[in-house]
Amino acid sequence: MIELLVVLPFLLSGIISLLFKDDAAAGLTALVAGILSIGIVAWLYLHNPGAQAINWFSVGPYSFTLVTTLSGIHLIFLALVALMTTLVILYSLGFMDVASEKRSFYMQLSFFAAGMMLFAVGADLITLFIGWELIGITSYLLIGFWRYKESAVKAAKKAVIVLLIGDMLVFSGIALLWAQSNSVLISYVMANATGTVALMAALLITVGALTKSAQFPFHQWLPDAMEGPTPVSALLHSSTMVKAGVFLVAVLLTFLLGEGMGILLVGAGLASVILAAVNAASTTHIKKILAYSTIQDMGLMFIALGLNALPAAILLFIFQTFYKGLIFMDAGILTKTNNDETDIRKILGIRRPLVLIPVVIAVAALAGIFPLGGFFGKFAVDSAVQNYPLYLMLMLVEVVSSLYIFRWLFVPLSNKLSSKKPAKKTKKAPGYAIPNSMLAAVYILTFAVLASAAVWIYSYGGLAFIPLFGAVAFTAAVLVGLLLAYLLYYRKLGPGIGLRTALSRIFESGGLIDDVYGAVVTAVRGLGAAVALFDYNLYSVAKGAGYGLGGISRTMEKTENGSMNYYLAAFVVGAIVAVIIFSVI
Amino acid sequence: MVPIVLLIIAVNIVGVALIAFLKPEYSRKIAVFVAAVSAVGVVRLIIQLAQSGVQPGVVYIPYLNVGLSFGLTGVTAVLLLLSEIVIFVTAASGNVEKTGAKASAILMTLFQIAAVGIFTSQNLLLFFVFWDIGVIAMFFMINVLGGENRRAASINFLLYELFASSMLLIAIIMLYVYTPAHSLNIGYLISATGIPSNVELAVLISMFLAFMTNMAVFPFHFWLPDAYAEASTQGSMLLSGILTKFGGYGMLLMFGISGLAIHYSQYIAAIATVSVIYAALMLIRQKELKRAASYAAMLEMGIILLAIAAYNTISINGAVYGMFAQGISIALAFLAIGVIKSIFDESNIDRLRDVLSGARSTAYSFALAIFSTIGFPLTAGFIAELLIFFGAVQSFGVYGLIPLAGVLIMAAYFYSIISNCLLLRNKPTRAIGIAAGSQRFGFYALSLAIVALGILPFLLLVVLRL
Repeated sequence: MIELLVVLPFLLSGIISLLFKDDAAAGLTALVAGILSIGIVAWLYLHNPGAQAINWFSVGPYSFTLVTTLSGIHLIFLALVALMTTLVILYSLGFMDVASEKRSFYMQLSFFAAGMMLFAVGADLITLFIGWELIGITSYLLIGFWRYKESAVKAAKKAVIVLLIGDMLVFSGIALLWAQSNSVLISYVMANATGTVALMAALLITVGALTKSAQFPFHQWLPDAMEGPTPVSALLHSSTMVKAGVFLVAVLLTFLLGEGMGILLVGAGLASVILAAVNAASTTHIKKILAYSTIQDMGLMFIALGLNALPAAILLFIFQTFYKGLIFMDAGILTKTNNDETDIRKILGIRRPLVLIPVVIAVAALAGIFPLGGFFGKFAVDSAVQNYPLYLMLMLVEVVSSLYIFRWLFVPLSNKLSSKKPAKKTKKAPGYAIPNSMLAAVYILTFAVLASAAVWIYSYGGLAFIPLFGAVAFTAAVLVGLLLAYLLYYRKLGPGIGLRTALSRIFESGGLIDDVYGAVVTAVRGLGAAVALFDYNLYSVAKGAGYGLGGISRTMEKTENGSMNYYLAAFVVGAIVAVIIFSVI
Repeated sequence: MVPIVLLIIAVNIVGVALIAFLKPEYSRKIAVFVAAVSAVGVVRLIIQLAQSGVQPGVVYIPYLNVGLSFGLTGVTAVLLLLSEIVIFVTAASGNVEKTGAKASAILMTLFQIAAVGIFTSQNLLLFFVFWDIGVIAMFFMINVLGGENRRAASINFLLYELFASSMLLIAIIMLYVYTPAHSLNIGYLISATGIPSNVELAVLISMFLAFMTNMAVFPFHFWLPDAYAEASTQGSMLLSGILTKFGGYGMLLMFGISGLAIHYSQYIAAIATVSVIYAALMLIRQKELKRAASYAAMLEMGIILLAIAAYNTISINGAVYGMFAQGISIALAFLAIGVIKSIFDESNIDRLRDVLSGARSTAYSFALAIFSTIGFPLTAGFIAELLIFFGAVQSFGVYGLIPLAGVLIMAAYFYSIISNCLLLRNKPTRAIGIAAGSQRFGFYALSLAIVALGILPFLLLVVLRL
């Protein structure tokens, strides 16, 4: 119960932004809420109260309780969310510079943060589900935040419908688990769920988790979600909200693996990792490359979870938050100073040291250069793999991922105008100077990226625990990718930018997967049309019966014509018939 | 208990007379006042129920053993509360179409008599009488105040409802003849034994036909889209918010009266599932906001029928909670759609754009109503869906979850409506008005109820447990 305290600051700041029409103060209110929630998380860490339940409501003998906890991964996730949200709000103070947009932006962001924190502390499936839905709907609103862009609203719609499928699956799983034992407390479910029902519930929840974390075949909403403002991408669609699926699987891991979901997790993760690497290497959209990279990170986490390597997954979970948040913020600075240009070939001004230092650090961390966080996270996942073909495949993916992320860096760097001020080239100057709040957030995060690995190594007492061969192999893979990227995109020795392969035809936006989804939508629509036709015909039959009755009535009317002779004749005939009938009987 | 119910009915009759004889400008005020007085009376009734329980009624036809007896249970208290909230908000938010204020107020007050009577009467004959009063009031509501095709829609509605009431009458007569004590007292009927099993089956079938027609369950749903779409905003609010709940309450009574019903619960659940999927597939064909909302109402009633068929503690609570939640949310949806129509003069999904900028509170209310309908957490609809589907799984296993596919289709379509009509600012539709203060009151009242019941479900469950 006391963990719910952490939800309060952002809930209040959301309500304040909703009720008071003050555009200027909205951002500061949210920032204060963020700082307060970091304080509350710290306080909760020092005074950890353990799992607590409140009785939400009860029906007959059944009671529905909301249980919260702060153990292990819950606390980690909560702290990451509080930290990232606050930094992103700081960043947004500079980024969101249209006055009329501020209030609704910070309102939605605050409600998102509140939902995310509720999700992070939930220790029973109903609490988790409430948070799960809240982050889904705020993600929908934030993707479609720029409502004048049709593409943004379309992307939001697509995202929410894919997430909706996941919501229904997870809800079904929860209902099945509840019906089995009348409890959806996670610890209880882990210990007691058995049989076919549990298997089915595990399957539903696992697939639901894949939708939220944008895994194959539900991945396509995430690159499209890049239509949202960059702070949103930095917070929701890289470091917090998309991790909800990973988190859900992680808290239920023993149960899910016990039901044999490991193979599904590894399979979906591997497919996602490959498709993400292929796609990221072929697209030139500055944010979509990063989005595919996020899909890849999530895939690696799922692989680790499927192999029952929870520590490895958590390690990547932590470090990924920092480097992915940072690189998105860098991307935001680059697009903002380039008049919202999103093609990496046209991005100017990356050479300025103020921009370049955090960019290089973020790219190095993402690629996995020793001793940054990305190295430890990805390397931990790779070394959890004991299977040779799988290991080789992952190494290949590491080469490609290093290649595409250095391509992300080298293509703008190799631009001839990269050191010039873009303001000269563009029609309206968006403000070449980067707002201080954005830089502040970026540098805090840069520091966090640099420090995180060091803190972690320190807490484990040195580097002795790293298997040497694996580390060398991993670093070699990264360096091969770096070298290839340097030769191909900086020295321009290769065929140039287009690295479109047969695989990307299957996986890219507008590719085969989209066609499949389109077919499903068309099928449902067609079913609707068929039902509508059926409905119309059935209704016609019902109406026809009504007309038929009316016709009989009109025929009967003709007998009542007011002629006395006619009536008399009818009476006589009737009497004769009656006599005959009675005599026969 | 009897005096208060009679008092409420008397106040309503006086209200009808006053509205009929005074000028139209007083109509709405009187209707609101009468609704407020009735609401106070209902609250008093519920307090009395909490303190002392049901009181026996007064016998008025001793020969037929038909009594003017009124009583209240937890279930009917909830439904009564729903009727009062919806009628009060409907009266207070006023006539969006701005025509026929007098007729609308009279019919609404008349309908209130029916609603109060039907949920309190402890006798099936009384139940039947009030049922027909309600049907007739709604018939005129559509026929006099409706849209272009109101005549066809109202006749259609009346035919279906007449079919329902004749079926109900047949069941009542059979029950009267074949029960040992020749009584129509609901309390007696629930505990009565000794009805021949073939008669019981006949009673069950005719009652089921009657109530499923009223609930607009496939294949007896044809009256619903036309009636909802053609009725005035106030008419749609009452139809969707209260009238279909007569059938829902009847279904619950049917399961209470006939022990046989439970044997057929799987078939009833199958019908409900078909109805849900059918409504969802019809829903995605609709281009008119009001028609889309009508099919959503049909879909929700299918889910409630599923919950009643599951017939365990949790699903029955879910069914009653669901009727309440669905009643207030669909009434809010229809109110918002009516206001959108009056503000933008447009209700076609393909042409309506950017309601959010033109009419902020209306857009929020519509979205909230939709979220509650699709069962989004922190709205009343979520608690209902939670209870209903948990209960359905308890009775029917995995098959109880099939209707979620219908909910999924409905939610997907509504998300695209929200995206295109509410959010998208590309080529916005021009607003030619604003929401009146009274309409905004309606939004706030119903939104508050939806959110409050989503966060604090015990508010309603306390009444339900009485």
